[in-house]
Amino acid sequence: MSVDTSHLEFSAAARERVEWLRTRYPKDHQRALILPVLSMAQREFGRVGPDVVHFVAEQIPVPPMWVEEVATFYTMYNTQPVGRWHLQVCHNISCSLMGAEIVIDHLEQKLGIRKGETTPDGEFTLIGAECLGSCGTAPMMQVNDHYYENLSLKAVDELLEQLRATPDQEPRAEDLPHGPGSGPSRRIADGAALQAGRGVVVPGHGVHRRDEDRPTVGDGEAQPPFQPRDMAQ
Amino acid sequence: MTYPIVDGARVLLNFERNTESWPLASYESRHGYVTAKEALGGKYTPEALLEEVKQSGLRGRGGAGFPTGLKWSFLPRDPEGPITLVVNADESEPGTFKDRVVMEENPHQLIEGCVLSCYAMGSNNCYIYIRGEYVGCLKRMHAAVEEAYAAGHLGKNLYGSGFDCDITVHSGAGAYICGEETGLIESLEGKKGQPRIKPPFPAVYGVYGYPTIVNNVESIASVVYIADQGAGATVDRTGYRRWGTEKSAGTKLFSVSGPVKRPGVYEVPMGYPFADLLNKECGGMLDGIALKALIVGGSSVPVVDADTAMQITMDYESCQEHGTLLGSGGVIVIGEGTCMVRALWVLLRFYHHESCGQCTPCREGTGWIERIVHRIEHGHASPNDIDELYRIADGMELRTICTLADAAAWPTKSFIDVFRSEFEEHIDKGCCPYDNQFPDPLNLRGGGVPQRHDDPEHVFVP
Ligand SMILES: Cc1cc2nc3c(=O)[nH]c(=O)nc-3n(C[C@H](O)[C@H](O)[C@H](O)COP(=O)(O)O)c2cc1C
Ligand code: SF4
Ligand code: FES
Repeated sequence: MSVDTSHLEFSAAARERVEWLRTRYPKDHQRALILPVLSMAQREFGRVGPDVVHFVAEQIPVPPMWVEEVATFYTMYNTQPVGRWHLQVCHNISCSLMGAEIVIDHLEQKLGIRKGETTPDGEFTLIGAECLGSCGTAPMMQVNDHYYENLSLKAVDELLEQLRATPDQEPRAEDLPHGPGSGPSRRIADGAALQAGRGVVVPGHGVHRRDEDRPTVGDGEAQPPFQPRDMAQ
Repeated sequence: MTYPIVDGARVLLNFERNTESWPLASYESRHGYVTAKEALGGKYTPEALLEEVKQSGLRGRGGAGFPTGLKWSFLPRDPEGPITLVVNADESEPGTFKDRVVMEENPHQLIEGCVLSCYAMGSNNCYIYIRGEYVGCLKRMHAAVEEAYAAGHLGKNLYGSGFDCDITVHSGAGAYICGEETGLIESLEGKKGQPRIKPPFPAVYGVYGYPTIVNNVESIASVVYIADQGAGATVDRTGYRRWGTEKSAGTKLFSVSGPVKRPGVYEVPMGYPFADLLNKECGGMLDGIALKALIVGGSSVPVVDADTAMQITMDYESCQEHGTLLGSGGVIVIGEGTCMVRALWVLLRFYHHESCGQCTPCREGTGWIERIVHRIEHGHASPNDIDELYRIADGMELRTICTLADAAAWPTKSFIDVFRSEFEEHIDKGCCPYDNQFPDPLNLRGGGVPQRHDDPEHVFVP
């Protein structure tokens, strides 16, 4: 299966970063670059679709299957499109003890979506995350790269307003945690990417249900009705 | 506020913690890199340093508590390939956030620890594998490593000793199982983080097939103190053994979470009573909440009830005597009014989600027990479901490639052992007596605001 990757290109800084990475791992084990380069690609292109997978495979180079395997194994790769702001509320034990479920309920009501869904305008995706190492400052959520800790419902409301008002930022050099020096990043899928077909925005149905009604498939949460990824793209 | 230094225990966080504690200049002003310079300058031969670590009684802080020096001595004497040190900074055990504090506030001590450890085990190459969500740690470790290279604390021919040491900071991408040492190695190699069958152990066949040692952040950072002060002895309270007990030497970081007044990371000597940690260090429980149960070492260890908790001292022996494990030191305090069935369900949802899927008992078992507990929580279960749950958990133990299956089974069995009546109540009543929800200790619903108990640095927004 050949996948066209001609529309994708790394920025100069990202290419520089890849060259730096090459020097950090043995020549015959360049497979080790897959995770960092894929993370970088996700930042540059806002998502990990089949084209990005093939693009990364060409950069290293390794067989695309190796990259695909990694892209689907790790939770931080967004093989499904996510909104501009990825709200990841930790719902593990320490946070739950301090009211994480209340924060999630509040967000669900406020955004009119359920855990796992994206708002129709593509602004917010809400998910329940597993322990993010902020248990002492619970409840907390991670929004894109940033941790917001010691949340109150008022703080959540304010944060949503702030995020809505924040324009899609220009790539910021320090946003790339994969090596020293500078590099660009785009925060997350922009509107154009979402509309270009890879982005299937799922409208929330605005109905709030307690989790008794949620089937325990997968991780015990309702699966969002995302359309399957189009491998043939 | 800054954290009090308990009993003068100063191994890892021996300074006023603030925004300026991390850069090289600050670290150098607190004796930083002097130990490495001295050690490489002739204070220790590699063998002598390894012996010192062995004598110190340092046990792995990642969860298993395996003696660090002994682990290093398993390295082959004439290795066919280069030896690699991998620092395990994947920290994803629910309730654990101590390595994060070390990396954010004292990153250079970890780097110095890496240099010393590499020297002792005859390695010139070190990877620090940090979980991908820790963007703050990643940036800080990158910055610190860059500083160390620029100042000659890393690189070729360190301090003119002819010893080279390179560190590469590597980022994970979200998978609890990559904390397991062979899962971590697979992930570092750019593969799915599925644990390997052991033996061969990493000391023989690790990263790229070369001999490898995987150690936790806290273990490696402690080596600096051991090399500086010597192993010492428990009887006359010298060196590293100045703190702790004969079998649990030194200090340990405990990350305390749950409804206490001042949650956070505390460094205390091993053997410190839990009651003191709770009441003195953490200021006690939040007002109006009594202690119900305790998970002492991260979510994977058995739970104990309040009475037992108050008898525990924070060391390996005492925890074992009281039917639990010290684990990673993630102290999860559970308050009165918490539904234990729901708490268990939350944990099992996590293990089910994180099972890598290689072993049938784990892949299927975690799902089964999660569903049964979910059923009990929502009052749809039948009376024999509790025994069924126990039986499945039993069948998951000791049958899998790694211990994730056991880590799901132990809490399950202990929750039933200690709080069986609550499970029965759910089934008898046909509903959750706690209304399918956790308490609201911060009164979030009533507009409550969590206290900012931490210094600004700890609330780290990269
Ligand atoms: C499922 C699982 C997850 C683990 N997660 C971590 C972790 O996040 N951090 C860690 O240091 N060790 C973790 N460990 C323990 C490691 O396998 C290993 O024992 C440890 O890193 C060794 O370092 P130490 O001897 O310094 O403790 C985990 C083990 C298992 C089975
Ligand atoms: S026990 Fe579970 S997590 Fe560990 S290797 Fe087996 S399936 Fe994977
Ligand atoms: S349990 Fe939520 S951050 Fe650890």
